[in-house]
Formats: sequence, C-alpha cells, structure tokens
Amino acid sequence: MLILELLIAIICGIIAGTITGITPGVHINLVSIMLLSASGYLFGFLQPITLAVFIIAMAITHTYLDALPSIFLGAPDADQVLNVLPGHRLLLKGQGYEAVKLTVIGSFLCLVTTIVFIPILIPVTPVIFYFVEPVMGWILLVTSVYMILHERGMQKKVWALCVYLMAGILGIIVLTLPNLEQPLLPMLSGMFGISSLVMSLHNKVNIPEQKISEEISVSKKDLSKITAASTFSGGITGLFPGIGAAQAGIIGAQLVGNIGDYGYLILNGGINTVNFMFSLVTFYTLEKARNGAVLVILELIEKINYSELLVFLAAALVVGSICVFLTLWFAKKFSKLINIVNYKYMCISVIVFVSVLVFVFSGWKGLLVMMISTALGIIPISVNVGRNHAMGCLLLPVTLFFLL
Amino acid sequence: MLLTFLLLVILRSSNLKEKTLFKLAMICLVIGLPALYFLSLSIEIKEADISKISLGDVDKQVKLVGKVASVRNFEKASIIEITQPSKIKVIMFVENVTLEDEQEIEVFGKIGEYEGKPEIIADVVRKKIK
Repeated sequence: MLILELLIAIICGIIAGTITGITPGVHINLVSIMLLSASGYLFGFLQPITLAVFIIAMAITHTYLDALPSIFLGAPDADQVLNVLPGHRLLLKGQGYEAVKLTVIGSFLCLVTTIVFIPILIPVTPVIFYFVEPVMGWILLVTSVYMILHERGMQKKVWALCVYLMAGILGIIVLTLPNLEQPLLPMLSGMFGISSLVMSLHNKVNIPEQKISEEISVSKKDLSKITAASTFSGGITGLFPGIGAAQAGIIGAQLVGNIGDYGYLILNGGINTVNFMFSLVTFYTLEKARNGAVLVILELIEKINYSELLVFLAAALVVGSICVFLTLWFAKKFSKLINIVNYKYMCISVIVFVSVLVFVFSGWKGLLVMMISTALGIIPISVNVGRNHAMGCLLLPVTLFFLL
Repeated sequence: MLLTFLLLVILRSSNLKEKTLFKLAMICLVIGLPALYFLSLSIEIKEADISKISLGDVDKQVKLVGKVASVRNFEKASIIEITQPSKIKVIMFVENVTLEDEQEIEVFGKIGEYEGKPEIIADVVRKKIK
C-alpha cells in the first residue's frame, strides 16, 4: 500500500532532517543529492513519490530544528543567520528554550497559513512571478538602502554602509571564486557564527541557567502582522531564484517594523518554513525548482499533478505537527546540556568542528574565506551597528544579478 | 476550513501556552494523517490489464505486473516485452537493462503510441515485490 510507503518515508525523513538540523553546517542538499545518486537502486522497491515525500519530510524537519544550533551554539546555516543575534541575546538571559519555541511558533503558524492559502496561491503565483520579477532588483535595492538609513546617527549610517559594501564585495568574490565548493558554508559560518563565538570567548560570556517557560506573551496584532510578513517574504524566496530565507528575513523585518527579538524569531522561523512550502507551489505552477531539495524532487518526478501536490501538503502538515513536539523536546535537552557543558570549551569545539567541515567541503580556500568573513562579522559588533548589514554578502550579488 | 479555524484560534491567543501549541499540533496531526491516507488512495496507481489497454488510454499513468518475454538493449534505450499473457512493449530510456526471461516485474509509466499500437513509456521497472 502506498500509504505505508509514505509513512515510512515520513519517519525516515524526520530522522534525516533531525540529523541535518541539529548538526551545524550539514545541509539537506547533501542528503538530497546522495538520495538522487541512489535513486536507481531505491526505485527497485520504492515509488518516485515516496522518495519525494522523504525529501519533503526531511526539509520541513530541518527548517524547524536548524534553530537549535543557531540559538544554542551560535552556529547557523544559511537560512538561520538572522536568528543568531536575537536568539543569542535570549540565551544570555536564560531564555534559549523560549527562543527556540518562538521559531517553532513561526514555523508551525506559517506552515498552516500557507496550506490554508494554497487554493488562492496556485492561480496567483504565476501572475505575481511575471509581475514582480522585472522589479525584484529594485525591491532588494530599496530594502538595502532602507536598512542602512534605519541606523540612528550619521556615524552609524556610514558604518552600516561600509559593512554592507565590504560584505557585498566579499560575497561577489566568494560566489565567483573558481574551484570553491559550497561557498556559502565558509562565508556565512564565519560572518555570523564564528564571529559571535569569538566575541563570546573574548567577552568571557557565561551562559546563565536556562528557564523552561510554559507561556509566551506575544500580542495578537504582532502575531498576525508577523505571520502575514513571513508568508509574504517567505513566498518571495519560493518564487525567485537567488533569494534565500536570509534576504526574505530582511524584507520581512522592514515590512513589519520594530517587532523586538520575540517577533524577529517568529518571523524568521516562519520564513524558513514558508520558503520551502512555497517552493512546492512554484514547482507545481511554474515547474521550476527554487532550492536544492525541490531540484532533486524535480529530477525524480518531472512534474506533479494537483493530487500529488495535495499529498505533499498533507505530508508537510503531518511532519510540521510532529516537529512541534520534536523541536521542543530537543530544545529542553539542549537547555539542560548547555548548563552542564563548559561554554568556553563548547565554543572552541564548535569553532573547530565548523572549521573541519569547511576544510572538508571547501578546502584551504574555504578556510581563508571563513577567516576573512569572521573578521568582517566582528566589525558590526565592535561598532555597534546591526549585523544584518553583513547580509550585503548575499543581498548585493543578488541585487546586481537582477539589475544588470 | 478546520485549518483556517485553527489558524484563527492561534492568532487570537495573546498568551500562547505550550499546551495550546501542543493541542493545535495534535489536531493538525489528526487532520493530516487521514488526509494523507485518502489522498494517497487517489494517486495510487491500480494494476492494469494489458488486454484492456487501448489507444484511448494514451497519456494515462499505469502500473503493470507481468513476466519478461524479451529484452532488447539499444544505444540510449531498452525495449522490454512483457506478457500477462497479453503482450505489450515497454520502452525505457536506460542503457543495458538486465532482466531474465520469465522474471516477474512491475512497471510504472505512461501509456504512449508507436506505429498505431499502445506501448508503455516506463519511469520505473522493478522486480515484483511479493
């Protein structure tokens, strides 16, 4: 029976997504590509749709669990870079568990919202795509300018511009550097992860005892506003090539204004999940893949019909619901562990682990990129401007891609 | 509709308790699992009878179970003839298919037409799972 195959695929996908989610630097694309290589053998006893459901389950699980290394270890993947700072701030207040819970609320809420709005999104998606695509570069440019001008005081504005441009130039160099595999891994790990850990070591940060809170206070207005902004900006990432969850996070944050650390974590948690859900809609309506995982699904099944899309959405709903329990369970374990483990040694271990990963995937060039990115990532912390300006490393190349 | 209602419940709560979140996740799980079951039935391809396949079925997705009568390998494709005992040709765009005669196989693919006769353009050919 197909349902049994699908349930096994969901369980295996959740296990794989948990491993990729809680391990810093390991992305689902890696597992997806391995699966594609083995698909010839797997087709011997599984149907293509089963493998597609496995990838969906893994990707959804990953979007929930990747908040854990980002918040507790300060080692984010590309989609979680903007969560590091607010997550780390809450961790230093003993609210690491709460920070993870906020990203879970965002992911779950936006997953349900996207599924509810699918009947509207299907006819509207191609229209939005053809309408917004010609002005996408300008939207990104305006977002970047607004982000810089948002800093208070002329000195901070100048620093923000410098950080944005330096990161942007580094991004262009790194993304066009020949023979550099997985360029985002060293660049983003250095800029947002290792720089935080180095500063934590430098400032001799002590992690206070983590509280396990039962209740979270978020205003109805903020929650509705954030859900709408996450769904909109996450939708953009699912529609357009080159725009990831991090860029969408910046667009979303500019849309909703000052929402504080709580709102920011909900926003980014949501965007991460919507990004993947929307890429499924794009796959159905435009037959285009917008991320590595969907690209592999596209290779396995050339195109999908409406019934298959509904199966994918039902699988995503099941996985998303299970992940609420799973992520919070892991968050409780991490909250207890972080008080047992010596934070200084943990920071050093994470830096060593990420450096080894960078060396394995990107070689010596990767390590060099990681060191430069780390140095660049320390600048905004030192001059006290928003670290989101360092996202220029992706925003500037993508903006130029659309404009030139 | 139920999901929309749930969404409104979440958005209306100013103090989101963990228990409420767990309850909502559980409700979504309870909705999602039966939905997945019924939707999977709609995409599950039923086994087809070769004798009943006609040119009117072109482009339909199909699953066939039969025995290998012959295999011919070409440069970029292979043609497998299967019997049920009615025969049909299955074309697969894979080089060097190794199947034994009389081996029982399952074929997933689309019905196509070649020289006025129906044929199967296979996505997956695998040994029959007992």
